Amino acid sequence: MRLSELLHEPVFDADARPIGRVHDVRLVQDGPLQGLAGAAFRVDALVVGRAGLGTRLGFHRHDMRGPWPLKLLFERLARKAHYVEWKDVAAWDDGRVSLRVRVDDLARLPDSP
Amino acid sequence: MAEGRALYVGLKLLDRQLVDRDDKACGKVDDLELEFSADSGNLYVSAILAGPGILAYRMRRRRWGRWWQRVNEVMSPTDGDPARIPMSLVAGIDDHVTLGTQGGHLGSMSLDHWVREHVTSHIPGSGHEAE
Repeated sequence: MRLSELLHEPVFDADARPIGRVHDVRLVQDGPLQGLAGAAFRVDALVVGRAGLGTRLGFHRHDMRGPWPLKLLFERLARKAHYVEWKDVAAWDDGRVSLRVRVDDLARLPDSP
Repeated sequence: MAEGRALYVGLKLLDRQLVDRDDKACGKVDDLELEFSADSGNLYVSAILAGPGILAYRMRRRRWGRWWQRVNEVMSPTDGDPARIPMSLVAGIDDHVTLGTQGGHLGSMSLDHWVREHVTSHIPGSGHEAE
């Protein structure tokens, strides 16, 4: 399977409520050794909803200080984005991602150093 | 156990330049191949996908993308999926993605090779170095 088949897929919570589409994917390099670069990259979380656009542009990073109007805008938008840990994904098939948790139980987008 | 390095795919990996071990550009990261681990059930990145048709597929031009990939497979001298660069060949991920191999044989370069062999090399003067 491909990452592009996961990006933009609609996401539904445990009550089958649509919560947005996958806008980005967070990887963590903590898997088994894979070769020259070390550990394998594991799919750790999904950024769901258009409000996650700021992560694609890097505005979630502490060292990204400006332009301040954009920083402010994307920080506010990020509060509306959903951060779905992969362990909360119940199924990914038929062109949709289904969660085992309700939308209210999802975490907020964490700041990135 | 401390958490490993974390990165957002859209910001740090997609569309990054691929550079081979001789510092030559050899394509862009157009997509990633994901694979479930039979042991842990986790989803891992198993390969970088680069080359003709991959970006079109990612941009939802699936039919056009598949057609281009088939053309690339036919043109490629190697067996298997020419667009696939196993993660075991990736030496580092920074501003660009460094490969621990030479890029000339990669599927991402097959169109360049084909054009050089069948078009550019037949143009008079093409064998001369640029002044």
